[in-house]
Amino acid sequence: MKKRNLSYLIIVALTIVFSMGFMPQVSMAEYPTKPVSFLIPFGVGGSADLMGRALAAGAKDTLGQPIVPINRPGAGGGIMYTALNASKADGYSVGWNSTSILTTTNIGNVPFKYTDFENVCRIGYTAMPIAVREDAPWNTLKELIAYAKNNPGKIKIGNAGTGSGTHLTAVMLEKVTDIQVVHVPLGAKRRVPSCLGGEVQVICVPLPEAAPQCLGGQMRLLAVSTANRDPKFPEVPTMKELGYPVVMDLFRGISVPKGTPQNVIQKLVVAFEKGSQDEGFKKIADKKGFNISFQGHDAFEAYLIEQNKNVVESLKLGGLIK
Amino acid sequence: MSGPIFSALFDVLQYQNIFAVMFGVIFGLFIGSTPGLTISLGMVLLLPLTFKMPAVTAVCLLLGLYASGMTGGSISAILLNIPGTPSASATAIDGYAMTQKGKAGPALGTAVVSSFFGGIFGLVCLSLASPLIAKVALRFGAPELFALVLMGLTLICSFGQASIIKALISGVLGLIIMTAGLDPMMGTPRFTFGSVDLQAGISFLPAMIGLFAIPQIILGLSNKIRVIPAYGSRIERILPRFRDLVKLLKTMLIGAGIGTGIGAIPGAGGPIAVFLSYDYARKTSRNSREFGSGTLEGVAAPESANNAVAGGALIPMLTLGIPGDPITAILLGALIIQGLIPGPMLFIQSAQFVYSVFWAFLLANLMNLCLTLSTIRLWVGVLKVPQRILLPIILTLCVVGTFALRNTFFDTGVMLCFGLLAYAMKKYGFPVVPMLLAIILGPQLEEHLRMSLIIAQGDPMIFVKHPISLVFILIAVGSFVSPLIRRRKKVSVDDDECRIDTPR
Repeated sequence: MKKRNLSYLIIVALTIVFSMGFMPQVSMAEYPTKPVSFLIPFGVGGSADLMGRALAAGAKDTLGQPIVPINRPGAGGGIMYTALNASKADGYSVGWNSTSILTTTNIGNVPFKYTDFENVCRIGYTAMPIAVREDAPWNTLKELIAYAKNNPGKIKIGNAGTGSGTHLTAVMLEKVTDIQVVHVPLGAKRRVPSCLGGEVQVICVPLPEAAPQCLGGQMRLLAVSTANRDPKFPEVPTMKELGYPVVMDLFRGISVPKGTPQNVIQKLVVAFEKGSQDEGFKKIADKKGFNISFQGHDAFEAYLIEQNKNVVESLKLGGLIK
Repeated sequence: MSGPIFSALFDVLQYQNIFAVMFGVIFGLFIGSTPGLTISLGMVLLLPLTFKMPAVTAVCLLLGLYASGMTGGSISAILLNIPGTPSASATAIDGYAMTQKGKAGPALGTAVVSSFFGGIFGLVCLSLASPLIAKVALRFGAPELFALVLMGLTLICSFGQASIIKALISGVLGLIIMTAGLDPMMGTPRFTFGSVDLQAGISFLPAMIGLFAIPQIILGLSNKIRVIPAYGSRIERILPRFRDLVKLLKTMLIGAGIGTGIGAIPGAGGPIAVFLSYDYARKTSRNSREFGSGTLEGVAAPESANNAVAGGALIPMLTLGIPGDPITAILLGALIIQGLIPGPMLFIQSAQFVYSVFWAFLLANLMNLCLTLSTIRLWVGVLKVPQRILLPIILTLCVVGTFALRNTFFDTGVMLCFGLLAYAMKKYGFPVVPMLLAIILGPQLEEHLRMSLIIAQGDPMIFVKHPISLVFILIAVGSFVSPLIRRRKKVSVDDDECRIDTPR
């Protein structure tokens, strides 16, 4: 009996000692002291989701706390950005953004701009190519444009949805080449089947969505929308080098609410840079045809200004905003 | 030819693969039978585990989950009238009616066996006729899909035996509710009242859970009816009789055929397949009047269909690299991460792997059959739990499940609103299935209609010019008109009955 009392006493004493030992640490603790929510703007299983989850897994060790992926899909990303905008600026709500942060905010369905966030860093980007079926009569983008010029309204270009990056790329191409095409907002599910089935002759899609069909010899890429050629498809020219001034990236990066302390932002930059070099993330990015190209806080903000100009211009050209 | 087939079989029969299938099946049963936890979510949870596995093991795990998730959804549909997955919603109609009659065992047994049948039928089509089916599936453009969905919507009439007017009101109300959110073509907000949550629209999963589960809970708690039928300590029969199964063969074939076909069409989806096969099975059945009151046929048709959808959806994924449904989309992602690129080259470059997928799918269905059949006694045991304990647990699961869908209580609110609506509807004799159909099909109907018109540049003749769409539209018109004609006939034959009928 006595022995047991003694052991209780020791346990209590030890508990007190340890908790006192930890106490100062807790009160002076630096960010992060609890798990960080990682908001994904699209549904489970898509490219954004798979890469976001891998990135979160790769960044958590550097950050020192779990990074918990939470899907907030809907309204082309608008749901997630709204939730992020309403979160506390304490660094515990982190958004996995994409070009959608520019498109949703400019179309005006949400009452804020991309500048209402601290845009922490860019992880990388992918191209939005113009693709046709293998047996299409056009071998180059030039031939397609020439055909479209002679047959206004005959070419149908499928995209992922009105106001999405793929739609805007097609609109830009239409306007700079002065052709008339029909834009078909096929959505994510039906854009590739619709082209394979011949319902539309041309599609503009994120590169990863068409890559399997291109490698499998069912589809061909005529041009990519990025400033440089894509490392996976080095033989495909960019629209810019063909003489069409269209540059549009599908980028992905990190945003947090405005007012998040600078030291927190710096920690996130470091953690996610490390995460972008994680083997698991690199593997998925490679398979998804996503080019890892990290940009820190300042570089990313500058990059967004330039990308935003393109988005606003093409939205105006497409008559989606005034 | 036979070399790679058999070496693929040996690949699959490694102990770690069998273990993976088993784990997938058990996990799938849990995910599938819990309302709100979807098969897609289960797949994403398992996906990181597959990165470090060999490709065959990964496929075994995910296919096990896929096969049993579909069956698991039906367990809660049959026992509690709460479908665990959208593809199980048609099963609830006759399955729950059987449970109320005290025949939960045979209903579950039939569901499991017809699931197996559907899965195997899908697999046979997948392995023998993939390229052909894929070719036909690609012909389904926007007008064809519109006509298919329209055909699905006319089923509303079939669920309005009591009163066609009430069924139509219920359906149209559902269609109106689903117009809230961003317009699918232009992205213009409609009926959103400035709420961003409403911009994403009403998602049909919370709506479905609300429509089915909440009225059950309210009725149960108000002690008006015993929602969970009292179950004697003795469970008479679990396995359906062999001769019953033989009688169901035609029904299962119909269900499996429709399921495989619709599964192969990218963007059509499982729920429409189960309702179409339920309806078609009823129309071709000799005792069609008994449908809805708890027949084995009413369970077998949608159950064989929803597991056949899995085989069907794999067809365009493997042959063209296009997923047939959201679940195969995740599967496709898993294969790509494994370095395999589905499409015609897969059959040439990695033929052995393709055969492994077939064997894995067979193994998954077998394992699902064995594990589910052997645990039916356990599942039926749920009915022995007193109502006052079971109902709060179900309510908790519904709240957690709807929250987990998109991590927002907005969806939980949607579920509760639909639940109250459904309770009121039940009270005043409005059927809820037409509303569910409208909720599932409404957004698709609008999307495909408007897409067709964009493609045709405003010419509505596109629906008539495309032969497939014309056929579906004619069937749709037929099934809409035929009950009216039948009614007319009845009226002229029996005037007295007409007079009694009119106040309805």
